[in-house]
Amino acid sequence: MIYLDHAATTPLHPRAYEAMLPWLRPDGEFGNPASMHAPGLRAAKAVERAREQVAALIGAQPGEILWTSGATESNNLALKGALEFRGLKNAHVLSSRIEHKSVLDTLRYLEIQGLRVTYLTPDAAGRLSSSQVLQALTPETALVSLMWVNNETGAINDIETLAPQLRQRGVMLHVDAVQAAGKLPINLAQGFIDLLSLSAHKLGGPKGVGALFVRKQPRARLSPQLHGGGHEQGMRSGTLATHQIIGMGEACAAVHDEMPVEAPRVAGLRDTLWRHLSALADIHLNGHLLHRAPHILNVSFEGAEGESLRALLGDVAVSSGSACSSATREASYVLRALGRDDELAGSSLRFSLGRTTTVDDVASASNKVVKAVNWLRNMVP
Amino acid sequence: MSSNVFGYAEPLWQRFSRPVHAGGWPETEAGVRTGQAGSRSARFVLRLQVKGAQARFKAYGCPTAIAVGEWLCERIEQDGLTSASRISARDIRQALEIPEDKTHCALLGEDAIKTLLKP
Repeated sequence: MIYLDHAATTPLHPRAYEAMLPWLRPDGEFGNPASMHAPGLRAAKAVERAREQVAALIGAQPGEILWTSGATESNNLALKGALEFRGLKNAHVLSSRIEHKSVLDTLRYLEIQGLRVTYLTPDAAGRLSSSQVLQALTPETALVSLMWVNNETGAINDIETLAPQLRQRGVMLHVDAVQAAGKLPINLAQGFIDLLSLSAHKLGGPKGVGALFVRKQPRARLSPQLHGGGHEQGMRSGTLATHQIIGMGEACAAVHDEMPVEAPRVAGLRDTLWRHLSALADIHLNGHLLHRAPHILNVSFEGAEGESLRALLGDVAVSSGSACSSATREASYVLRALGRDDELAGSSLRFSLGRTTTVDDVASASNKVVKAVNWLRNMVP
Repeated sequence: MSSNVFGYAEPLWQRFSRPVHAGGWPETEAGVRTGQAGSRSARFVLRLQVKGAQARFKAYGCPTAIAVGEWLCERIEQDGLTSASRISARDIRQALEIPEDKTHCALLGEDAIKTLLKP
């Protein structure tokens, strides 16, 4: 099995695993971090240490990090929380057609509650430009929600140019940084992003935990979505999952340490993969050639029907350009937004590399893909 | 050939992974009969050809589509074209254990073999 789906999830980093163990062992630590006794205080201390580790990865203050159950919850909290606090009356939100479902579905839910949303269309390379966003602002725009790196194409949005300009105009900015964290340097100390979502299991941490950055200066105000105990400064109630949090903290620390070497290494492997695949004619890169995260490569293969292509690549774990449930064979809405038709979108593969990806993995996978595509093309009437 | 990780039914997977009848002849070649069904927009194109006692197919589509092409060629070679002309979509579905959501593959297979017999 060659695993090339790191954008979907990643294996636990050994450092995260080791850090979590004492908090999982039956004879180990298990205190509730909110309890006022020795085991509780030890747990609280470990949680705060993890909070510092996450903050360090993104240039934030520890007090600006809220723990959640994952990026889906972080995105829900950011959008529902900010808009509920401001009030939905006459509110307008700017986002894009290619955001993650946890943003799109949340915005659609809020539209039913009366919110107006504009979903911008990216360019053919999958990027939203800051001028495009600024032009779409209205006097009622309360919030802009944009992902930093698109999870399907790896295309990087120019958040750093956009952010100060939105601050100038008094518009809140929420950034889904799930695929950016640990891949690109992020420094929120620069001051212009108000809310930022993170996911642990996309960067070597465990599943079921994430974080939301909530700026303190100027203060980003949120209405809590989970009530009951007032944890996380009243913004997110619920006993903290100490072991998960420690795993996330340590994963962030590891990725922070390794990023200067890992990012170029992975980018190199991604480029090698693309070079090998380019032996095939009639293939298309989905995304931007330059402005892209190091770990994602999305390619459409003309003449290779998607389901057959996947069936031939059973030993390569990749993501496809369609949701492959037998009931609804939907083409990827992201690839459709880039202008790919249903057929080409369905004949697409997203390769995403990571810490455990080797040169051999890339050579072997590209070999299998080239063989499979040729096999299928030879069979076309 | 990859392993059957998506759990296709065995009779289907066998034929998808070893389509020994894949291929064909130029349509204008003497003694070649050609039949075709489906379209690119339907995500299924099946071309069946017969030359003497041999049957060949080419297909664009999902594993079920390719398995249907292979199975039809087997039937033609084993039972003869006339007998094979009586094959229905139901026969195809049964033989390859095709699930309901892939019924169209069986229907197009039936169409393809019927066009093969058109004069």
